[in-house]
Amino acid sequence: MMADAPHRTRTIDISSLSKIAVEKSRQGFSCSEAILVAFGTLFDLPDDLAIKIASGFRGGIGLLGETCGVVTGGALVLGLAFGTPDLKDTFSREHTYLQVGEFGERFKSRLGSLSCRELCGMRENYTPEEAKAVRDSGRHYQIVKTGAEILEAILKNEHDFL
Amino acid sequence: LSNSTNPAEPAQSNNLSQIAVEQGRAGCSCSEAILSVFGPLLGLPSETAMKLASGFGGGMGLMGETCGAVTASFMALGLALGTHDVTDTYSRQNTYVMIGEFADRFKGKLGSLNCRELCVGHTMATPEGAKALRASGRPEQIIRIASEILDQILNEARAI
Repeated sequence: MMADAPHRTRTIDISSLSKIAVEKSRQGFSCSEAILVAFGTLFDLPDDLAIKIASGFRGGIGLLGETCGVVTGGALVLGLAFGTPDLKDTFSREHTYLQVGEFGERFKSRLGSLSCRELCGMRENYTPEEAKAVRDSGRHYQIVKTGAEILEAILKNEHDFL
Repeated sequence: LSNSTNPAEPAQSNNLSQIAVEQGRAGCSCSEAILSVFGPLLGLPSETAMKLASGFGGGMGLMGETCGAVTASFMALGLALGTHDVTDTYSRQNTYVMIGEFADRFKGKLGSLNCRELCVGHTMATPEGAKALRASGRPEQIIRIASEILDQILNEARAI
């Protein structure tokens, strides 16, 4: 069994978090920021820290068109949920990797790729105008929604989360 | 007055990088080694830093995607230079400029940002593979180079 995590706030309804993530995205937050700021509340991660930590992952990691911010945001959340600062706790360490891998698999099977470039049809090194065009297309709302729903399902599936 | 001749600066740089390398030797993944050293300098509690970085080892969840030393450095740059204010476009742009700078310098030294390409010939998917990769010294080299570049950029941006 996993150790009890006293900092975890259990009063939050996990099912509400994907809606919050999409709402954050509509407010102008990037995909990675929207995911971490919504799900970070489960772990009492302050909003300003969540947004700053995730801010470099926009546009496929620093506007490079690489890994989708929903996926990196998801990996941050799963690390908070299952990770450990204890290097000897190999169970938790492997469990975290498995859950991140599982999240990646489900994401790919729903959306076809982990790559921002492939998901949003954009080339490498976005210009601000191109990033705006993606934003205007609304494509990323769907990606945030799908990724957040997968995260909800993974978190709900773990008994100690409910 | 220029700080560039101050002999304390390079010593300090070497020190942060050395601590990150030692974190790697102690068993941290590349992402954990970087964020556990730089996160607390930038206001992130060390336990939270370890957890946030824990999913990014082996190119994120052992998927061979972006190198964990790179993703953790971007977390640190976001912490140092980013903003929670969506209307603060200056800070948001500046974070990307510095991330781009990090990516260019890292690629210039190591050739790629991708875990699979950086660790070609190795696999992290099995415990034996992960052990062999560690023994090769490659992760240690990557941690050292990433933390040196991160330290340089944070100093240039006067963030630490």
